[in-house]
Order: sequence, then C-alpha cells, then structure tokens
Amino acid sequence: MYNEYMDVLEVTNLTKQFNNFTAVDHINFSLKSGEILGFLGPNGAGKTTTIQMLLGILTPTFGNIVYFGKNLQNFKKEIMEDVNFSSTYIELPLILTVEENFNFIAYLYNIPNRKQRIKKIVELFKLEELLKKQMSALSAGQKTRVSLAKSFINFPKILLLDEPTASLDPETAKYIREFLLEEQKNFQVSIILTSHNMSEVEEVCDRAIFINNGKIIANDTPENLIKTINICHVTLLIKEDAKKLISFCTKEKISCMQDGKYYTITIKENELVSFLSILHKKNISFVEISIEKPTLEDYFLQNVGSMQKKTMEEIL
Amino acid sequence: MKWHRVYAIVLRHVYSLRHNFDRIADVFYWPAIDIFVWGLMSSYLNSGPWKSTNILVLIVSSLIFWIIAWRLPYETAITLLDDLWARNLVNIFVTPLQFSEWLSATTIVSGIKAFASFLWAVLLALLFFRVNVMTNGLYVALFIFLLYLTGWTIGFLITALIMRFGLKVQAFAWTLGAIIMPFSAIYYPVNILPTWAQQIALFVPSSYVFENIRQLQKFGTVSLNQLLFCFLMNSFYIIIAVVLLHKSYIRVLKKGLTTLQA
Repeated sequence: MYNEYMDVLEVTNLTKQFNNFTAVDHINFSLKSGEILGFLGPNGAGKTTTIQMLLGILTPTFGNIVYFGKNLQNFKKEIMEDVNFSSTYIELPLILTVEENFNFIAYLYNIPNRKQRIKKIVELFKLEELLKKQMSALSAGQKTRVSLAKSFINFPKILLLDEPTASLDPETAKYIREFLLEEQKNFQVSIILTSHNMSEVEEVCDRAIFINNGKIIANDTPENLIKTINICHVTLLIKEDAKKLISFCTKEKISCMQDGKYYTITIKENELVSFLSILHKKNISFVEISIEKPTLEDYFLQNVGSMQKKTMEEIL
Repeated sequence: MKWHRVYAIVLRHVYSLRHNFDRIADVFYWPAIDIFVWGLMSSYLNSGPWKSTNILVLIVSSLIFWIIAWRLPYETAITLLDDLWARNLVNIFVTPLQFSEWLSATTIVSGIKAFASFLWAVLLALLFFRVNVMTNGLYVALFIFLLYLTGWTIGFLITALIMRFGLKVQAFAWTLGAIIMPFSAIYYPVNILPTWAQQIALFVPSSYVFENIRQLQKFGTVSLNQLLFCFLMNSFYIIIAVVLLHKSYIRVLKKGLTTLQA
C-alpha cells in the first residue's frame, strides 16, 4: 500500500530493446515526493526512450514502472490523472486556439471548475494575450509556455518535462525555473526534467541522473557530482602575445577558449601550480587572472564528452 | 469508459472543423458534386430514348446511401491522421484516455460527419431532383445502420493499417474505402457482375443493402432474411476490425507512439 513517505516513482530494471539495439539497459531509479530530478545525457543516450516509457506511450521490453505504489502497466488510467508532461518537441494542435487546446485537455482530465482552472493557468503563465490565438500564430517560446501551462492543468503530482526552457528567452526561462521551484515548495510536485542547460539543472534539481548508452552512469546531487571532478577554469587577460599561449595549448591539446582578450584554460585542479609555472617559463604574461570552480557541465563533459587527458607532469 | 474523455476528443475535432476549411469541404463538397453529376446524368437518362420511370430515383437514392459507406472510412481514418499531422497523438495518450475511449470518440466524430454528408446529399436531391429517399422511414433507418457498420469496419481497418505502418500509408484513407464499391452493386444488381465478382459480393455486406434498396423501390418490400444476414456479417467484420485495430495500437506502443508521427 502506498503512503506519503514512499517514493512517488520507482523504476526497476527498466529496459528497452529495438531489435538488437538496447536503448535503455536495466536502469533503476526513484523519485521522492517534492523532488526535482534532472535526467541528463547526450543525444541518443536513452533519455527520451525512458521518458516515453514513463508516460506509457512506449512499452518496456523488461522492467517495472511503479507510480504511487501502482504498476503503470495495470493502472495507467488512474496514474495519469496525477501525472502530466510537457515537451518543447511535442506540439499541441496548431489549428486550435490556445483556449480550445486548454479546454479539450481540461475535459480529458475532468477538471472541476474548468473555466476557473484555465483562467488561473493563463494568469500564472501570463498567456492572457495569447488565449484567442491559434497555436500556429505563436512563436517557439510562446508555444513552449503554452505547453508548460498545459502540463499544470490537472494539478499534477508528478511532472515530466522534456527541455522545459528550451527556446525561451532568458527572462521567461528564469520565471519558469522560479515557478517550478515555487510549485515544488507549495504543492510538493515531483518533477523529472531533461535539459541540456547544466546551470539550470544545478539551479533547480535536487538530484541528477546521468545516462549514457542506455545506462545510468551517475545518480547524485549536483553538488556531489561536481565534487567528483578535479578540474578548474583559469581565465587570463592577455593583452599582448597571446599567440604563445594558443600555440602551447594547441600543441599540448589543452582546452583553451577565447573571448576577446580573455582566454579560459581548463586544467586539473592539482596541476594549477605547474600550469602557472609553465606560463612563467615560457614568458607568457597576463595582466589579470581568475580561477573558477568546476560546474555540472564540466562533469558532463568529463564523463560523457571528451576532455583533455594529458597531465601537466607529462607536458613538463 | 468515461464519457468526459470521449467528449474531450470529440470537442478537439469539432474545434478543428471550425478552423479547417478542408474538413468542412470534405463533408459537403464531394457529396454535392456527386449528387449533381449523377443527378444530371440520371435526368438525361430519364428523357428521350433512354426514358425510364425510375432511373433517376434509383441512381440518386443509391448514391445517397453510398455516401455513408464512402464517407465513414475516410472520416474515421482522417480522425487519426489529423492527430498524426498535428503531432498531437502523444498529447492525448499521455492523459488518462484509454484506447476504447479514443475509439468511441473517433466513431462518434466520423459518424456525425458522415451523417452530415448524408443529410446534405438528401437535401440536395430533394431540392434539385425532387428525389426523396426518406419516405420509407424505418427501412431507411435500417439501411443507414447497416451501411454505418460497413463504413466503420473499413474505417477501422484503414486506421489499423495507418497505426501499423504510419504516415507512409496515409493514402489508404482516400483510396481503400472504394475497394468494396464495385462489389457493393450500388447502381446495378449483383447478377450483372461476372461470376467471380458475384462470389465476392456475397461477402460484402453493403451489396445486400443496395439490392434491398432497389427491391424496396421496385416492389415496396425488403428481404429481412438478407438484411439479418448482412447485420450478422457486418457484426463479425466489425469485431475483427476492432481487434485488428487494437492489436495495431499495442504493436505501435512497442515501437513508440512517436514513431507514428515521424
């Protein structure tokens, strides 16, 4: 029997195979009540396949999905009353107006005081001016806002959000992030969100799961995940003779990003002293230096992407 | 089955109809064209050397009833296609909506649209050719009911194929409904058909309906045994069609509902 102290979602051994290709490979995770979980990974890692299985629109080859103590396979109808979904990549019918879309979806969930609920959602997402417009007349960002608003229409206990702030301007994206945190705080809404914006995940997620090649490679708080990597970003302001730095970094295959006269070099934390000593030896002078701690993006790049491997000792 | 969810899907298509001239034209344009072309031809046959007392009534009334069996498969399939084209199928199936509720809504939407086409054709025939097919109330209702079963059966089969193979077979929505047309003996009796085609017509429920429409016009009677057989055959076919459609749905869930929209 489900009680409020249990996980609202439990995924066990979830697997999806398409012919000989395993898109999702025996993954296990859970979601607590009121938790925001980031579901991250590179393109083709298995994120969307997992989300589709969690929504019941893709049948798993193997494994269990249990919401509120009930198996999705047997209780989809009951479960979906309390779950909703929004994706930047799935559109509402373009020919319908925003209001018509909200209306028919409200009927699907049998929302009590339908008109009032739609009015409230419209206010929350600042959609008053768009209500009578056809979806086809909206910009990508406006469509995303409407899709997000739709996902709140049934007072969901669990929300699955696929890149909720993609295509939004920074101000609206910030508002949406704050709104999600508010909903989490006030109504204990649990959220799984996929995003390629790692700073967003750091900001809103209590926990992050990294998936690659269909397998979970990390499952922890963003802070703990960041702690596992030992790189730092050294930003130097070089007014003259930056060529020496660039040629050094190119030769040694060290990541070096240029932004005007600022050069950001990514190195291991414990090699910072050696790196500065090399700069001194090579007469590479700078007028300003700042050192930044690693971020979740660094974790992503180091564990999923490709990073420079050569140590400073090897270079020296 | 929750009717508010069925109503929601019906509402979604009513809204769509409100904004989409194509769909409104579908319901009224083609039936009107058919009525005029066939009505004028029948008027010509009713005059001069071709003069015959009931050819106009025969052809126009057969055409009016055929509109049901012709529009229903299309309208049923287009209900799914509308959601595939709008990439909306995922939006509705991530709600508590069940397959049976979606199917009921599809059946209602296609039924209403086909009936609107039928009524429109009845009105045009009455206004322009003075042909009234509604004079035999109960029999008319029976013919309509049997043709609805045939139309939905073909509609569900086409929908099952689209669900199974995706948008690459969407042309079936426009074409496959016509496959029973030659064997339905709409404008001619079954015994006109070649022997092999007569054998096929035995298994086409609509052929019994059109044979009885002609019999009613000519002798004022119908063969209830034939119509009962037609009903049983229709029932058998529609159950098979629904089972196949459900199997297609289960199968598409194994590949992922989003693959249909690709």
